[in-house]
Amino acid sequence: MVPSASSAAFLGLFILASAMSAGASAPPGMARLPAGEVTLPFLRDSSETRVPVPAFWLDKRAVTPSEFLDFVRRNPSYTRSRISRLFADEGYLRHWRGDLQPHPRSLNAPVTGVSWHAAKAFCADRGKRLPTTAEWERAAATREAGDTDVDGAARERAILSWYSRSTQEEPPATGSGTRHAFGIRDLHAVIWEWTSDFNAWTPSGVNKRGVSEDGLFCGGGAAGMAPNTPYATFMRWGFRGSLKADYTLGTLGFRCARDDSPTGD
Amino acid sequence: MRIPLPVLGAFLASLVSAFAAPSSPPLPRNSLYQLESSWKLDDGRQMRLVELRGKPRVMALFFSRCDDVCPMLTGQLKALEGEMPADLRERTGFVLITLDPAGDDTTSLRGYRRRMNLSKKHWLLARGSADDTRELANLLGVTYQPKKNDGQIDHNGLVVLLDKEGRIVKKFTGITDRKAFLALLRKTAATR
Repeated sequence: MVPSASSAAFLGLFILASAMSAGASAPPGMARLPAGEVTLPFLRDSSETRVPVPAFWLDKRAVTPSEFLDFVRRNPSYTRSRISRLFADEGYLRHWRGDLQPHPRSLNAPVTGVSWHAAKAFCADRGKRLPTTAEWERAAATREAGDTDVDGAARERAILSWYSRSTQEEPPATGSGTRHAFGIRDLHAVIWEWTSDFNAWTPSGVNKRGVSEDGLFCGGGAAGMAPNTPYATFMRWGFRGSLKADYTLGTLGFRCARDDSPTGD
Repeated sequence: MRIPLPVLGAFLASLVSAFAAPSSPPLPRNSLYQLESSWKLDDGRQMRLVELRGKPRVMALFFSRCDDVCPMLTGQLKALEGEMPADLRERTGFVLITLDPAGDDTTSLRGYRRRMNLSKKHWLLARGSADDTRELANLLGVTYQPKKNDGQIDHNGLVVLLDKEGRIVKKFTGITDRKAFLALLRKTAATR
């Protein structure tokens, strides 16, 4: 009891701190995550299993079909019929009824069938960017205040039950997934999500002297995981390593992020 | 009469663009030069990839503090340049893009140019944003990891030959067979 009460208080402090520093300039629909760190599920170097994550802002929800429709309407080169095959494979928005017609049944779920390139362009169009893998994992590891699933077992079960769904089904509705700190929702158990450096964490490592391209994604990028990695985590890191930037999947969408203090890079 | 230089420059630029615009057809749909990202060269100029149009380009990613694969790869490309007949050298461009935009600025790129003795005429060194660099790398097939504590970035040493329109001709894992590379380059320089 004592640890969970104190961690809830700690979380409360975090929320208060972020609300104060955000002031009136909080971007709509986004939450600020204070600086923290994430634990990698594999050894990177001899000692690097934890990576620092500076404070950042993250969309509370994944991008919706309506929001994506607004983007393609204003950027016709990203419509299904006009997008270059360099930027998206033939599955891009395939379940839509036309260039500007999302499937009506998909409107309550996050947009899917979007390539990394299109997701990046969407976020840039809104003055945002895709979250890094470390940022995404940092947010995904948080829990809503008052969460009683202390050891994460219930969350692990929910994720695994989502994994076992048929990919033929529509993605679950926005808001039906996991609940995280600062009002962030659905990082697990609704869709998979793109990150800006999704293919940068192949733990087996890229040979410094260069290896053939085909050898890079051996084992879905999951080779080299620590043996005690939770299965859901193992799946997620392996899944990302198996993607390429032009891939589109009916279960893969995205949300956007933003630097805490825009530096005008 | 004296015309202020900026005014004259603007006039000339508009003249050039008025005549140049109709003569450049749209890029092929599989051209990397469709990317609208902006890149800063080591001489301070901003460049868009479409400006690379017109010459075959030999493109590779590197970073200035790379202690391993980059100097070796750059050395291979220099050897290649050295073996080119003069006419082919004039019709080819080398482009090095840093995959460490957080650690490299124009000063460190200029330092790398000096250290490796890369001619201004044939070599472009460029830096973009983190995400634009990742995007270009994804299209080239270059993979790289986040920077490690020792400042090194593991990456595959891919060299990519692009044709005059920015389409990928071939990807090379290092230049081991210079004769074959030069033959392909000559062919690429001869076709539109």
